[in-house]
Amino acid sequence: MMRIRRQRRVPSSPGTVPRIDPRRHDGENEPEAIERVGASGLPRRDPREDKGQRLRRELRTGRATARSGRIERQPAVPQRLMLADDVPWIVVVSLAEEPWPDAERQLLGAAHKVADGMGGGVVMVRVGNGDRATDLGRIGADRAVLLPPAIDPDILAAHVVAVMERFEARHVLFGEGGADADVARRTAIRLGERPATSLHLVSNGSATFQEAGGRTEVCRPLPRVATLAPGRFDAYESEIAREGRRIEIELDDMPPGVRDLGVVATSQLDAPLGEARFIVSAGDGVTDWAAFRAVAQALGGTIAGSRQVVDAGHLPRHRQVGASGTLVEARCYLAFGISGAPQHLQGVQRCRHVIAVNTDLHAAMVKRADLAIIADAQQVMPALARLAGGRADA
Amino acid sequence: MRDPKVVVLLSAGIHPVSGKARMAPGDACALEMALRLAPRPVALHVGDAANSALRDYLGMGLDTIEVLDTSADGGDIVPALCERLAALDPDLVLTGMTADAGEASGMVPYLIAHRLGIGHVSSIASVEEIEAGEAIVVQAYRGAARRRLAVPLPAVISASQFAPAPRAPAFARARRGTLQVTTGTIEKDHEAATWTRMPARRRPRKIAAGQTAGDGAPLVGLTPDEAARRILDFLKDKTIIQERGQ
Repeated sequence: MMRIRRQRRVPSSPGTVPRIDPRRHDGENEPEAIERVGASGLPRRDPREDKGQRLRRELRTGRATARSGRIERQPAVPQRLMLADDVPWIVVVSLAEEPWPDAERQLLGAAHKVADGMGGGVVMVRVGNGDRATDLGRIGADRAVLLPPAIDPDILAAHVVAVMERFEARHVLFGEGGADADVARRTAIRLGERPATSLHLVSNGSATFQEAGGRTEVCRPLPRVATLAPGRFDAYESEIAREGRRIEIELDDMPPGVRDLGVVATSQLDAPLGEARFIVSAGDGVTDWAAFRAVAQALGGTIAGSRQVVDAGHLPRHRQVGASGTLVEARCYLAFGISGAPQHLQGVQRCRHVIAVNTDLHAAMVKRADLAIIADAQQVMPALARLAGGRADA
Repeated sequence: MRDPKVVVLLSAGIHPVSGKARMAPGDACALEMALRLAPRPVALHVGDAANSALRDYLGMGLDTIEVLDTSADGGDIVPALCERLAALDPDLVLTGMTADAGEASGMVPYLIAHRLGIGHVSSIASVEEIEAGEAIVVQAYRGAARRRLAVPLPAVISASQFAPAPRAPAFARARRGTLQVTTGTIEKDHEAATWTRMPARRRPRKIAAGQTAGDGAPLVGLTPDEAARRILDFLKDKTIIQERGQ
């Protein structure tokens, strides 16, 4: 017969970790991380203990901010000025349409990683207006160059090369995707460089990418021209803003190599959902289909719907957004009367901006939306169609 | 223009999961585009003539593929391709966007266009018309409106993933088609030989802010007109729609 032997509890001797009674525990002067030494001699950590500590710490900081007034709008953000011009510069290029959401910030984050290693700064080249609201210094640009929009990527590449020559830049970074990838390769041709594409890691003058199929990882020295894979880099996050000083650059006029014949007008029901820019989508909350079509027409959006309306036969199957339909990557997704089933939210996961019009305040779509309006879609749709139509006339 | 001279560049791919040889998806799209433009396009391949992926390309409707059989793997194929292309003097050269194996930097069409001194347009969903000295093409990018462009000929055109899907290969055609093999050598890639290679590690993609939750508080109790005004302002602010007539 086996007997379980209980070890008698010995009072803690000097040199061991003191036991803490949770009921008499004082949250303010707790030790940060309690480490016990296990039987093997290695320190052991209790994950539940760690979690409790983290929650208490968050609660404490939460209370502190509540006490000091929650809305802390710093009127003057501390700024780091870049006075010297002869530091090594890293150029970051962003075209009018970001190849993926947050591409600009991720590029700047990666560029700062490279620049900090060599004590340099980051020049941001922005083509076209982009998002006018963002402060370029706040997102991490030391210098900013605004280029006029151009359809021909060869002209853009020539402009990028001109900017690089002006700053004597060491490296230029692009996003891998959309027209940005095209301009990156043309820039590499102009500079006579062999670019590194779809980088996953950038560190200390070396760059890592994966070969096609993602089985082999290749590490090479960082060349002058490089493109970054989506979602692999942290954005530039710092309390200290950068200068974001505008630099004007003289550009040569070039005759365009291709002639632009304008945007192709596609029927709103035929345009492929996967590449749509702006989607107007209907859910079970929509009963007035004439008004819905009028809104899509007036705003120039592509028509889509949730599974329910497609099942009910209001829209064809290839218009369905969600896990069993199409996963869309639109810049903006305007949802009328969609409550937001998990499968549907999965479909809109990669959309940049989401607008929801719904009667239910607690719908999941309302939580996901950047602009949520609690109203009946049947009343908002005619008003929106009228205003948007009037906008075209004005 | 009647019967444009179309050359399509084909590469052999590797399936990412099974590791078997397959058609490169981008090149299959380019071949589909070529077959719609001309009944008998010239197809070029540099690499191993024994690769089974070439049979699949033949099965899509090609009579023959010109293969420059090289013993070395992973060399610079651009000089060899340029030499043959200069001899063929085509109106259009069609390629995919990137290769399906190896470095897959997508530089081959750019280098060829640069060396031959002809134009190049990328990410093309369809070639609509070929007129005298000009091709009318449609360019498609994800999340952007399609654009129609006029490209002076001759030109290199890269077919995007939004081009019409390639037709299924037919078994009998794959057996019937022939490979015109010439043996040659290409220069070794000395630069890439110095890079370090290792098995890929899984690195999770970072989740961008705003993907799982929005940052706006819901607006309650607006009249329909106010709500519509808010939506329009939001769309204009994010440059989704342009303000017209101002």
